[in-house]
Amino acid sequence: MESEMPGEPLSSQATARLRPLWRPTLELQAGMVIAKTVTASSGGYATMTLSAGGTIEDATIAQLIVKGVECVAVVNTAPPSEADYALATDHYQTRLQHIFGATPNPHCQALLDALLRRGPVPC
Amino acid sequence: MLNTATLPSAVARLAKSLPSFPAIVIQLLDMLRDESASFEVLTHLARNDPVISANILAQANHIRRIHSQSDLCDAAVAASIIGINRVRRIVVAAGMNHFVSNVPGGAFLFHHSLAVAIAAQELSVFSGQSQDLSYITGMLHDVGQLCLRMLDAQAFEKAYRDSALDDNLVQHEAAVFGVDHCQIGAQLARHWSLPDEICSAILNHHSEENMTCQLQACICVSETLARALDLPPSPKNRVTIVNHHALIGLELEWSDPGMVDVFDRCVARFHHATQH
Repeated sequence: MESEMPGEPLSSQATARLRPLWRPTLELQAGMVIAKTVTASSGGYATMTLSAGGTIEDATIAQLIVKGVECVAVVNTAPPSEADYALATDHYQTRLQHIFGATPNPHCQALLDALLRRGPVPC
Repeated sequence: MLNTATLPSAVARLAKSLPSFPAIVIQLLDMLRDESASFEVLTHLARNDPVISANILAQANHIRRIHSQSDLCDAAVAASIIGINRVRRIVVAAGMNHFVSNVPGGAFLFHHSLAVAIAAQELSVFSGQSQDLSYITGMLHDVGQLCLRMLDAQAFEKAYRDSALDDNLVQHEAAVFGVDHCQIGAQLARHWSLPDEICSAILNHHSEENMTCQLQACICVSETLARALDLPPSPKNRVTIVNHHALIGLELEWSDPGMVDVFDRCVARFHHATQH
């Protein structure tokens, strides 16, 4: 798995590039590593918790489907290279500029800023 | 030209020529008012629709194949494996897809409705609303566009094209038809006897200032979010307005760190749903 220099704070683009991938439950595969704790609930009560760092097994996938969990964040084991992600970010920003226009109003600007900080999905 | 006085009778006439909305979905929506509605009733309804049965079986058999078990053929047994919430979403999505499948522009309308439904469900997790109600209302929120297309497809296309310039579809629709897709959609929802909350959310989902209920706020914001995320991709996707009152009502802040997950989950779920 790739990371920046130990001890160095990640730049915002590196944080976006190396973030976990959300996978629909039906696309999960055994061996994937859970990146964010999963909690399923029913009627306000937690019915299942899977901790971050755990490895997904076949039985886990079946459990997640039964519990109605739609998506799970898994560790991205093959993030794009810096160059590829920079290119994807350029395309993403151009598309957002088209969607939001040249001068978004302040309420739209807040959404645009959040989407720019997030960056494209790193896959 | 329609107006608010003639709208109910016009929609009643129009409803007869619309493709029939699967009775199962109407019954399901009715059951949503009763949280204790029995699983058996729901699966019995689902069993009688081949498309819905096939979807339920596919998801249950996915689990069984993981365990090297043989495929099931009984939708009721399959439904008990995948759970009631997933069954509800399959029923509504399949029902809506069936409803719009033979109408010009129906495929895009279905994908847009699906994107808004997913965004509404994800935002409702974040803001504590009913996930089922948000998803279902998201699927139905633009059903009025279907009515306008049925009344005059060319006029609707022109209004739709013209709205690309100023992002004001409802005004262009009202100029041509006398009413917009929110008004006619809400009237159709009333004609189907859908819950008042859903009718109100459909009626006001393009309102910039009004916030009649949390559900309406959720659909307003979800529509904006779906366009911002380019779901489904379209050169006509524009975000020029965000209903600030709706954001406040839902206690949502775009700058919240958890929003990145909401955005990514919407994208992942939409792509999965449209590729399978």
